[in-house]
Amino acid sequence: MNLTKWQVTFLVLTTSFYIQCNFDEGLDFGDSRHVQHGIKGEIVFDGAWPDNVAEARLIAAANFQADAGALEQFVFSDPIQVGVARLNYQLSLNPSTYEVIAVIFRENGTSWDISNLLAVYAPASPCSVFPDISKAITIESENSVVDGIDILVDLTKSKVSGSLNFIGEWPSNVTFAAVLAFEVPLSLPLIPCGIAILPLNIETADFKMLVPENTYTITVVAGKGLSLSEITFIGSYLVPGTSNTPATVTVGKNENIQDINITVDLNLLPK
Amino acid sequence: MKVGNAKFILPTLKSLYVFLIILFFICGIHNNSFSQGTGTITGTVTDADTGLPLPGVNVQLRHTVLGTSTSLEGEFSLSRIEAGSYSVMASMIGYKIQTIDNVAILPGSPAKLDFKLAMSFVEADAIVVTASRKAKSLSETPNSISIISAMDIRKRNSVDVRDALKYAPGVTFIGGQVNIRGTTGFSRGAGSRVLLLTDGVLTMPGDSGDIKWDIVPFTAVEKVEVVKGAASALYGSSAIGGVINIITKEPAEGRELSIRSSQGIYDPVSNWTDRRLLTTQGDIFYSESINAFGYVLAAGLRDSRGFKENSQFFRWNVFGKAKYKFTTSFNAIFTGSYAYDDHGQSIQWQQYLGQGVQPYLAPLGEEKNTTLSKKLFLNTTLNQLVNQKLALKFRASYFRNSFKNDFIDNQDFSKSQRFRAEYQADIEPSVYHSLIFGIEGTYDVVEGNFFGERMALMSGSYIQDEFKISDRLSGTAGIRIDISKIFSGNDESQVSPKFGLILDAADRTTFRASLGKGFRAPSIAELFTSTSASGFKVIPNPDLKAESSWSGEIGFKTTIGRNILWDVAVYPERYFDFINPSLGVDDTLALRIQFNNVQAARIRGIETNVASTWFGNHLNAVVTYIFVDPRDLNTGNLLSYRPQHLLTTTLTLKKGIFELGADYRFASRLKKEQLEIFPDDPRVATKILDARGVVFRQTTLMLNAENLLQYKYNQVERNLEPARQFSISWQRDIKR
Repeated sequence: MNLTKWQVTFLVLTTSFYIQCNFDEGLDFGDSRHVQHGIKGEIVFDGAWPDNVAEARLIAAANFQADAGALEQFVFSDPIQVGVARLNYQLSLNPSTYEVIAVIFRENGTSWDISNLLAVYAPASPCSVFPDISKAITIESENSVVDGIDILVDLTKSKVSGSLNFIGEWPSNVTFAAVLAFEVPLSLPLIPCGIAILPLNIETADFKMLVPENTYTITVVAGKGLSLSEITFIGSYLVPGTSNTPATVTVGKNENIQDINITVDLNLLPK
Repeated sequence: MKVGNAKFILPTLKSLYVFLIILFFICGIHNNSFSQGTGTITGTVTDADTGLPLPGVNVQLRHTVLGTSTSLEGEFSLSRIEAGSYSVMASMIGYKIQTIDNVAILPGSPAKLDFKLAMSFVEADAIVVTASRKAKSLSETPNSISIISAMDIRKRNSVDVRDALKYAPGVTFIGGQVNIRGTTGFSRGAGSRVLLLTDGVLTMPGDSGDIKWDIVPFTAVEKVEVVKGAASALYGSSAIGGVINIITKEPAEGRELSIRSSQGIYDPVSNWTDRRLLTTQGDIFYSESINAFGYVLAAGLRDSRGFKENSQFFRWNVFGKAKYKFTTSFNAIFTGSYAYDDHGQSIQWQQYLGQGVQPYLAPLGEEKNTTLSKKLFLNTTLNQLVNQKLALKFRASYFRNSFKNDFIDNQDFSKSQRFRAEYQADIEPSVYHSLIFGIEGTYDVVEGNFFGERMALMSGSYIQDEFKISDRLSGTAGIRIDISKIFSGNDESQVSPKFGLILDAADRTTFRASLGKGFRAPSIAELFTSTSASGFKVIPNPDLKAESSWSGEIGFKTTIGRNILWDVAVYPERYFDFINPSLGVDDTLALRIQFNNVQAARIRGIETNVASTWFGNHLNAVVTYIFVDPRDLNTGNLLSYRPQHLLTTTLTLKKGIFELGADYRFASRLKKEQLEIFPDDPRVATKILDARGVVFRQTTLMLNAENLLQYKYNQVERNLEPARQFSISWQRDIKR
């Protein structure tokens, strides 16, 4: 055996592997919190985390269409660690205009549900969960990070749930339907403190929403868009046993209010 | 139809199996149809260099169904050969194939042959059994085939055969799932585009339809054959991307005992735990033949703490194989394998908004998610040699798979049973034709909350002719028809033709071309999974159709000088109705995942493989490079989880009883569009170097270092691949 050949072989092989493999350690986890394009800010959680929270996430939607496919339009962040009191975050978002930036949660054993919005960025009032389109966030370019997107999350919200029974035909021009909760006494401008987006063209449905501690009137709306100017009131939660006396619902912190059953008359919608 | 009907169908099938087995026995024991006026061939096979006898060498009488293997003394005997002139071929992995032509057989006058096989690291030809469902030399098949020997598995610190398979030319793994030529992608444990066989018998469960590697008897593996490209014309569903056939050891002549032990330790970069991350393995193998009866027993234990949180596992398996020769022309083989696996399950690493990535930690709450699974595989094979032109084979098998999740948010479970029977005839009507014909049926019963209560029936029949057109040109033509009935799902039928040509262009140079159809019926998992994962509902789609493909290949193989073997193949593939999970919303506006027929795709690739040996077989090198262009024809995007450049290199340096080896794997970085869940996550290429040192003595000692350069990478989002591991193993073999 020729020793020189062996030496040459080893040298070539060793050098090849050295060049190929050296200085490359693979994934770098040190910089993982920084994004190149998107938003950043602080999320503050007010109150104690309920026991039934499986996880919470920050979500954002561009060109939001508040129709039946609502959740499909959202970009979901990594999970928010359950139990934290506040966190500084960065969320990678592609350049676009985002009308809705919100915090959503889901309970143990359940799926993601648009009714479980905990808070929305830049709401029109402290209790509002209705996206404020005039305060949409625009990511200008691949190197644009918008700072100061701070969100206050009220963890003491109560769950209000019930069922809906629709009478009449769904007009074809309806693209949005929801159950809204308004503080009473009503004051202008009307700002909903709770929202449950509904699927369309159904005869019955269950709904649930989260509202902060207060007294509310629960109404059903439908129309062509997200703006209050585009919707029509087509039903309200009534005092049991009456045909047209709106009822009020008073909720405390972390309560579970059930059996808010409403009959909805679709004939009230403009054809 | 409810599962209650299974109680009616099952006894009917069982009765049919029993009837066929009894019929086979009667035919086999009373068959003496070719014992008159015949002759025999006896002989020996020795190592050309050392003169030592070679046991376990395949000896085939060409253009007949007759064949045997050599004893511990290197001796063989072939009897009941009709008078005439024959070619006899001897082959063994690691040796150059040898053929002796013009062997005259005369009644009452035994022919004596002595083969002297020369060691050869680069061998263009070998006997394979998977490409044609019977023993054929590689040069007679139009398929690309890779072979892994028992020694390849033994030298590596293998938890299962995947650890050796990942260095087979053209084979890679993505997230633990096998990927042939970069075409088959990643299916998240639901279905497989590669078919797994054990001794030619389907070894995949009826529910998830994926490959359960722990059922493969590690120490009882003789070799592994990998057939690349669609093979549905012979094997039906799931062989859309290729076939892996685990060939287990035959009962030894005399007695053979092997004991193996291995101790390894992971060396993670992170100090996420104070515990030593040990892996302990133990295996035992015993084989014996007593007259006409021989058996193999093997058992293995694996206990690992894993390299990251909740990646621990505890596994054991037992395997048994018994063979009884009723007559020289009729034998029965019974095989059984059982595997137990209790392992941690973390779908992703820990990554919370506003916090750093913790790649070695499981998400909070998921640290104790575990899955317990048990598998049982039983098979009976009856082989009957009717005459030297006709051999019959009957197989009946049973595969039971059960698993139960112990997760924070689900306790899902499933149990599936697969009953299968097949009948095969090998016919060698003349030197110009080699026919194979078979029928088979599969019946699946599934119960549990994960997939519901389901049943499926599948049947297939196939015929293939390998024919000689001239001295240098031969061809293959075959067709298979499959019919499947999935209760509560679609009924489907598939016709899968195949054509191939092999041109022996010059001395040691062959060209090959093939075109075949492949298909994969959706697994019960893809049809009926109903569960929830991370808040996403997975919902059934009973309307899911089979995916199918046309797969072609043009290749050539040549030997350059005496020490370089070069193989090149170009393979275009066109896929229809690709099955992929897709995201949407259900009637309640909740997010849901459902399997759908979503894509038409085209995959084009080139594979080149160079094996060479230098300095008198002291230095061996195998380099395989694959370029793949996998395109979604609807979007023009690259198909997910398919790296475009794949390179594997194996170097082995031998000197006396010492061997040093290094394996290097490279897979290019996935493009952003190739990640299905987190496209914005950081991506890196795969660059892994494994190294080993082996001392071959009475007790073989092995030192292994895997991921020697401590490279941090993932192949599927948020799943870190193993950190560096050092291990020491020994194996003692006793043969008497």
